[in-house]
Amino acid sequence: MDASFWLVWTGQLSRIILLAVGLLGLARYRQLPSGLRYLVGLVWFGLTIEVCAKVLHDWKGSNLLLAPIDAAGELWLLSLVYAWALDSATFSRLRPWLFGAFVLYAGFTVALAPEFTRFKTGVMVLESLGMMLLAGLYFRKLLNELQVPRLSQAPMFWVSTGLLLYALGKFLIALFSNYMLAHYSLQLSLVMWTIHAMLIVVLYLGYGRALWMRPQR
Amino acid sequence: MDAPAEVTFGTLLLGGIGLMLLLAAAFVGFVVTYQQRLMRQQLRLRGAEAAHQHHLLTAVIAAQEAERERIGRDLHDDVASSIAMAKMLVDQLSTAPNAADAPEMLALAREVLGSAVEDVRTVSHNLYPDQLARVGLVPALSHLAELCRRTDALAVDFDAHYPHPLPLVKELALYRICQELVHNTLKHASGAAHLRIQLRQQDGNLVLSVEDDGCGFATSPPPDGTAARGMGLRSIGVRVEMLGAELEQHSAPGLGTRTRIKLAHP
Repeated sequence: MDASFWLVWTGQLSRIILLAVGLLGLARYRQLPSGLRYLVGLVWFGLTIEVCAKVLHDWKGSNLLLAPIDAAGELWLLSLVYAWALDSATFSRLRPWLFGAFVLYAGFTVALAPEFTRFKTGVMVLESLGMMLLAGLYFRKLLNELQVPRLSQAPMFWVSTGLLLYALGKFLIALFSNYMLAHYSLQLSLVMWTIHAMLIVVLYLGYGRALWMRPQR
Repeated sequence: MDAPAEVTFGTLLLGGIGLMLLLAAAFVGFVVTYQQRLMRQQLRLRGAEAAHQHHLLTAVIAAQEAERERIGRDLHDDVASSIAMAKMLVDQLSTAPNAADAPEMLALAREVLGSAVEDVRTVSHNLYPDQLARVGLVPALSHLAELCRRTDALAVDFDAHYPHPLPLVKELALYRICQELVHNTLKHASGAAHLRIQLRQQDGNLVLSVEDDGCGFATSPPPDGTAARGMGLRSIGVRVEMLGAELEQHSAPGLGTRTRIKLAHP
């Protein structure tokens, strides 16, 4: 079994988990607070991107074009989730500028320099940094405000934990993605993207845990 | 520069990712542990605050009950007995209005009633020193010193420098503290010949000091904690806390007692 087998297998697993989390989110949508409803939106956005990627793949097109759109939508929706979780006037004031700039940047990279064979390293690295920032701000709030008696009962703790693990792992993979393509075998890239898919599974499990529990604010 | 061999690069990258994940896991572990520790500290602090509040509430209720008991005793022992005596004299006068000693009885009834009026005034003043609201803290304290002098128990000095008055609520608290301290001196400072009350405003602070040369007491804390403190002292403690002031008390057996209340008052 070579690396492509594992990549396909973990990719399928992540899509199944994403679908399950999306259905769970729909089932619990009415009971969820507004912030976690954005999380459901994020999961369904991810599913839409997966469907588009599948269609492009079936038509023998490159789905690398979707990566910046996925990153922009994902980070924007996450910023909405965290605006609710952080409940900070400063963050709410800066959020549209900070994350809006990222969405514009991602949009420009797609519109002005569309890539079909290479990764948009800048977009992916910035997305990882943005995710780390969001998770870091949430953990900072946890320690500053001490409003959550049991962290395992806080949905955003699971979202942030998943996000931090995913973003830190993805950061290095994204940073060296094009370098690997240019200098090393495809096998190595496939191994790294398999690890990335496993990190996505961890992230979706975090989302699923957050949507599964009864939220306590 | 040539790219490193694929095995080397792959190992380095995998190691880097593993290290990043370990760092993330360690960070989350740190947040969980540290947050739990902070939560426990906060709970302990809240528990201590609740106990303190309970202690204050108990002190306030106890002080209220003691005050009611004292007022009841004053009314019963002084006012009621005076009025009962006056009634008895008036009854005698009504049954024998032309008796030979009627003028003396009338004068006695008048005197007893006058004394009852004076007692009612004293009780009323103790309940609320209206002088404080009318003319301020210094005259009220001066009057308190004068009442103390009238007991003939000890010589009283009163000295005040108080150019910038506090709000009435704070003045009332200070007055009550002073009243309690004077009462303590009269009640407990056996052998005291001199009492000095000072109210000084200087360097952004207002200091009330009450000093006697009585028998004093050992200031070591009671073995069973603050609950064993006298109710008067607890009542002073509550008012000091309400004022956001500092309380210092120096005393030793045979060396008198000096109590100082200092509050910021620019």
